[in-house]
Amino acid sequence: MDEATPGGLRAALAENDPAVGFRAVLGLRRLAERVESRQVALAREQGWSWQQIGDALGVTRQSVHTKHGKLS
Amino acid sequence: MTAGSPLTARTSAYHPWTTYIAAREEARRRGDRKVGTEHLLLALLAEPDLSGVLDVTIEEARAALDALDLQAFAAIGLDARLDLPPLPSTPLAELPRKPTFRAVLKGRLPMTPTAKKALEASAKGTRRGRAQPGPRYVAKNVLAALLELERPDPAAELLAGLGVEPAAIRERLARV
Repeated sequence: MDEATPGGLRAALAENDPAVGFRAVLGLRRLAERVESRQVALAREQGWSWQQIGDALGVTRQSVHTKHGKLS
Repeated sequence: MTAGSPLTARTSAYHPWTTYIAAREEARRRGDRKVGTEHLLLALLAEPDLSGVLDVTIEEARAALDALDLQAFAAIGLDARLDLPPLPSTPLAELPRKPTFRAVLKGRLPMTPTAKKALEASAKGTRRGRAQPGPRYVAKNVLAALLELERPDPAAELLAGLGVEPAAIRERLARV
């Protein structure tokens, strides 16, 4: 990161800003939800049962179905 | 901003539940587990007059939130992408115009403490049997409460990310 440029400076400041770090934490949770939703849809397209998806995610088939059942 | 926004066009007496439900669906869409102040702000942007006051559309605000996330990922050294589709949620146009208690409870998400406070304070004086303070009263109060927030509150971050100056908006809001 080139700190002489305004963008580089901003990025350098952001690295030491807990507010930005906390946003990243919440952002990663959001990202995880989007990835999960996408992958469950993909698994259903490929014929996976809710039981198999639940096993892969470490939860019951009921809870996967409650959360993602509307997808398919 | 065109008239006929789903919320305004179909809501006669504005109710805090209407704001809550719209904010909750925005939270669901983003993959958040709690309804925060940034989602309340998005819900208000579904109102054409308030969107006009802020001079921001809901699409711009959604994009700004994604941009803030990407910046934050970069700051912790992650090269993540957000080209995944949003999560399934009820479109704003299909939300109930006068939410029943059942509609509020169905698929409910908890609120963050600040969001709860902003919404509760906005509803003062709107109890049934009392004089109705006007249909825009609640939404305006929520927006006024959100404008008071400071970083690192998510709504304040979003307003800053959009380049919105709270002081100027407060003045414009008083004239609506």
